[in-house]
This record gives sequence, C-alpha cells and structure tokens, in this order.
Amino acid sequence: MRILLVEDSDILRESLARGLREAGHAVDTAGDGKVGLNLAAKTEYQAIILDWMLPQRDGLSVLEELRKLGSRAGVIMLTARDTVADRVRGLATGADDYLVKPFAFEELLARVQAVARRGVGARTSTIKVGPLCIDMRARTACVMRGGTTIDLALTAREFSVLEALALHAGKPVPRLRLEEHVYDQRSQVFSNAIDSTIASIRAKLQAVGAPPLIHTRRKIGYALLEPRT
Amino acid sequence: MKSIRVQAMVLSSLYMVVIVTLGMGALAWLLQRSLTDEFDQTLRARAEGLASLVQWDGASVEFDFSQERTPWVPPSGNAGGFAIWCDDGTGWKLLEHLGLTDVVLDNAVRESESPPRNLRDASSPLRGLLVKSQVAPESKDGDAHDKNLPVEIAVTSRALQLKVFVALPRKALDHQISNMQILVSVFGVVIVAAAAIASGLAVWRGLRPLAQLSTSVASLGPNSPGARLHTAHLSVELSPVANQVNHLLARAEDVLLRERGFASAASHELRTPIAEARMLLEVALRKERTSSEWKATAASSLSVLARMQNLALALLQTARTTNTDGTEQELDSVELLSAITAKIQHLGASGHCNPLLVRLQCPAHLVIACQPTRMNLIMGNLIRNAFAHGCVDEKNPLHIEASLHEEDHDVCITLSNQAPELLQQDVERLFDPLWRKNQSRNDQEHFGLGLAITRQLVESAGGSIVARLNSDGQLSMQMRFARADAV
Repeated sequence: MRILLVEDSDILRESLARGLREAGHAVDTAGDGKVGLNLAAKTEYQAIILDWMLPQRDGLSVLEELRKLGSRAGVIMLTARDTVADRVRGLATGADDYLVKPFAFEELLARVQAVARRGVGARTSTIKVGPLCIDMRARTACVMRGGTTIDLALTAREFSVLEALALHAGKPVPRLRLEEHVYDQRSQVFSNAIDSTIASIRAKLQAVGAPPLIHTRRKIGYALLEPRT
Repeated sequence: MKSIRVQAMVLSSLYMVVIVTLGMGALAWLLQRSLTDEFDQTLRARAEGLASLVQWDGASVEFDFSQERTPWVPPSGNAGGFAIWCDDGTGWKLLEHLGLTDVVLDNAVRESESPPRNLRDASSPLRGLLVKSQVAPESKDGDAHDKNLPVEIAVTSRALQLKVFVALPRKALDHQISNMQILVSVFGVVIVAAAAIASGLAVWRGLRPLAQLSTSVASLGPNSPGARLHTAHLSVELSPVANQVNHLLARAEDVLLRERGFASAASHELRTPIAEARMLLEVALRKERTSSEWKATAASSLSVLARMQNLALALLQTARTTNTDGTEQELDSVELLSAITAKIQHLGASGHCNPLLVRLQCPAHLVIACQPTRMNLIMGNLIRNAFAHGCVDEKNPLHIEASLHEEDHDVCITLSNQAPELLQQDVERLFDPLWRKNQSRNDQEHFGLGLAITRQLVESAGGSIVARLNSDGQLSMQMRFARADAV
C-alpha cells in the first residue's frame, strides 16, 4: 500500500520508511508539515503516519486541512504527547489511530494495516476471493484447492498489486491507482510495469490451478472477481 | 495523642469548679457570719436594755462577746434569759437569774475555773454574752448605790464587780444556719456543675476553629496540591496562620506544577531519541544486513546517543541551577566590561558569534554582584542564542548595553537583536524549558533549555530578566543586577 510518512526527525523518518518499504509498502516521506500536506493533497494514500510536532506546520493542523480537503486516508498520529487530553484531541481532529513514542515497529505496521483495511471496509487482515486467500498482515497469498493450501510465491510488488485488487475486490481498479498503491516517489515507473506484474500474477495463479480471477477492464484497469460457477 | 481542645475543656472546667466552690464556701461563711451577727445584735440589745434598767451609776459597763470563760450552762438550758454574778472580793456569787433556770453557779463557778464552757461554742444550746460591770465605790456622803441594784449587794469599800450573762437559745440560729448551708450546698453543687459545663462548652466552642483548621490541614494530601484552607470564619489569631499555610501551599503547588511541567517536557523530549534508537535497531534486526548496513545503523545510533547525552547534560545543568534550596552561594562581583568583552572574544574564537557584529556600550569599572562563572554562562547563553536564532548581520548587529540606574543602584544590561520570525506570543514562552520556535528535533545541541537556564542563573544571582519584542521585530533581553557596592 502507499503510505505517507511525515516526521521531522531524520533518523526516525528514514528508519521507519526503510522498515515499511522492506515490509512491501510504497512510502513517501516529508520532513515538515507543509511538504507533508502538499504530498497528501496530491496523492491518494492508504495510510498517513503523521508526527504531531512538526516544523512549518504542526501535525494537527495538517490533519485538519487534510480532512477539509476530503482525504479519506487512514491517519496515524505519532507523538510524544501521551496525555488523555492529547489523544482525545488528536482523535477528535480526525486521526484514525494514535501511537505514542517510543513504539514498536511491529505495532506501527499492524496499525497501518488496520487503518488501511478500515479505509476499504475490510474487518480482518485476511481477504478471500474464491479460492484465493490473501493475508495482508503476513503479506502472503495462497490458493485453496481440493482441501489443500498452495502458497503463492509472490514478489513484494506482485503482492502489493494483488493486495490493491483484493482491497477493492469485485470492482475495477484503475491502473493509475494500482501504480500509486505500489510505487512511491522514489520508484522509476515504466508504462507497462503494472501490466507485466499482472501478467506475472496470473501466471502464478494458473500454475497452481486457480481459475481466472483477475479480469481486464479495457481502458480502465483490472478487477479481482469471484470465479463464475 | 492528647487533644488540646479536650485538655483545655477539662482544665477550664476544673478551674471553674475550684473557683466556684471557693466562692460558694465564702458565701456560706459570710451568710453564717451575718446570721450570727444578727443574733448577737439581739443579745446585745437585750443586754443594753438590761443595763439601762438597772442604772448602775458610775459603773462601767463592758459587753464581752469574746471567748471568755463563762458559767457552765447545761445542754437543757434553752430558755434564755440572764444571770448576774457578783464578785465582792471573796469570789463570784450568783445574785440573780431569770430564765436561765439551769444555770448552775456552784463552787466550780465561784472558782471561775471549772467547768469552763464557752457559750459561743456551736455545741452549746445557748448563745450568750457577758456584761461586765464595775460599780462605783461608795461616795463620801455615804450615798450608796446599792438601792439601784436589782438585788441586794453588800456594800463594801472596794469596787463591786458584776457579771451579767445574757443568753438566748441558739436553736433558731442553728436552724437558720443549717438551712442556709443546705441551700448553699445544693445550689452550690448545681452552680458548680453548671459553671464547669458552661466553661467546658465555652472552651470547646471557642477552640472549634482550631479543630476545624486542624482537620483542614490534616485533609491536605500529596494528591491535592490545589487544596486551600478556608479562612472565612477563622478568628483573627488563626487567620494569619491559615493565610500563611495557604501561601505556602500556593508556592508548593507552583513549584510542583513547574517540576511536573519540567519533568513532562524532559520526558517528552527524551521520547524522540529513544524512539529513534529503538526504530533504528528494530528495523535493522528485521532481516539479514550487510556489514555496511550495520555500520550505518551503528553510526546513526551513536548520533542518537550523542544527542541524548547532550540533552541529559542540559537537563542536569538546569536541575543544578534550579536546586539552590536556600544554599545560595555567596555573591561575588564581576567587572562587567572586561567580562563581556572576554566572553565575546571567546565565543568568536569558537565560532559561536562574530565579534565584529556586536556593539558593546558599557561604562568602565562597572561592577555587579554576581559570580563570574555565572555571569560568564549567562552572557554566553544570550549571545549564542542571538546569533543562533536571531538575525544578526552588518545591518542589524547585536547591541549590548550596560547602564547604571542611580535611583535604585541597579545595573541594567540589555541585549537587542532582530528576531523577525518571533511572534509576540512566542516571547511569553521564551524562558519555558524545552520550548523552541522551530519544533524540529534534528538539532544536536539546542533543546530549548538555554534561556530557561539563563533565567535561573540570573534569578539565583538575585537579578531579573525580561524579554520584549518591539513592533519592528527587535527582541530585547533586559537584565537587572545589583551593583556590587550596593549589596
């Protein structure tokens, strides 16, 4: 998924971004509130990790502005402020979650996935589409066939594309949105990158005997659909 | 544990019992004396009447109520009356008696010895007095006075002595005295009890504000720093105590809140480097890393640790300047011009300021009361702060001006520089610990403690510091110190 990380501490920002990228997410970073707001206004993020105390513009005002602009991204406030009043204030302003520094990276990762799931209405970290089962927390996919489970050996990029399709299962997902979901600012995106990734996923699904699940919607994008019975 | 209130109540009741008991005793004595005197007046009137009736010419009459030995009167002799004895030189003889039928004048009486009985004794049924009369001796013309005597007395050449004993039964007197004693005893007990209770209650009620104050003070706890004592209904003696306690509580609360705020700010400030270090290591440990990646992680961790070390040192310095606790070091003196000049040069050498951009105006030989090291730190913090966060250049140099106020013997030191980014509301927070205009936490050296430390240093030297922002964006830090010779 595409994540925006706004944090003024260089070390924290870089290490968090590194960890999130290694977990298979596309991460954009900003060192102050102003840049963070510009990025969030231009790109559709599934999750935004926002520090409270930021130079230029504090996290709370960035969040307020984002909600005014109609952003539906799940926002996790990161802060050293740990009083109940601060938490309430952050959540009342529009934050979906609140994490007090210092925190465990695994916890942040789980919360990021939780707010992203909530953004598309999913209740659990596992999404099933026909025989295909996607575990977003473990970032694994498998196919159920005749009572046996066959794991799919997907790359991080392939999983991200499949995840984006699964989060909007039954609906066509534009190619641009898939790109936004998979690639961050630093990535060099080729025009056929998504198409080739989709082709690779389809091949892997076919290899384990799964029915066709990913359908092309001409001039729109792709859709993950239940197999026709 | 003894209660002052109970002790005072018991003591006051005891005192009241003693005082009222003594008072009632005195009253009883006075009443008894009064009744007896009245009785004796009656006796005296009778004796005087008798004396006037007998008309002893030339005789001296003496009424004797003293405890002289008197004739013996048996217990049954309660009729009252009088008896007259005469001493003609051969001894006392009963001449006449009336009413006192049982008065016995026998040999014992004549011998004036036995059995002596004092009729004023309460055990005697009669109470009487003696009238001693000295009858005049016979005159030259042989006119004797014995015709005036109520009884026949032998006329002799020598003066005749008469003793008239007048007595009344003391039963009525004793009855009156007894009634009075019962009355005084009964009322005395009631009055003593009432006085003790009233006194105890008065003390109990009078000391109620003390008890209330004690309860209020006892209710003060470590979790209620904002609690205060009610002073509305306290007496003039207790009100200053409660006000003083409230004043101390307010100061304690102020210190507590400041300490809590400082601890919170310090904790808040430490969270970010801890989070940085933790995230660096957690992310690094999530997968296998190359040696260069580990090296980079270690270097980043080291920089975080260095920052935490700087922060810890800054916090320590703040705590040391805060915790003077009355152990204020003796003030020293500083020659201002040389101290500031040396500091500017020192900061210039270390690259923290440009001495060419500092305009110093300070009279020579101006000495202020402050420790040299303290003044060194104060000036260092302020000058460094101006260069680090203000806008100091050739057009807008840093002005340092020191002047003497003749009126109050204070020395005023003002540092002025342009601070275009600073807002009026920021000025109020300049001296708050861990406050920074720029919220970025990437700075390795500045934690927003410099000015807080500066203020504490100035105040610990007995001075004061205020910050003002002019409309043209010029920030002035104005300090006041006492002149050394004025301390």
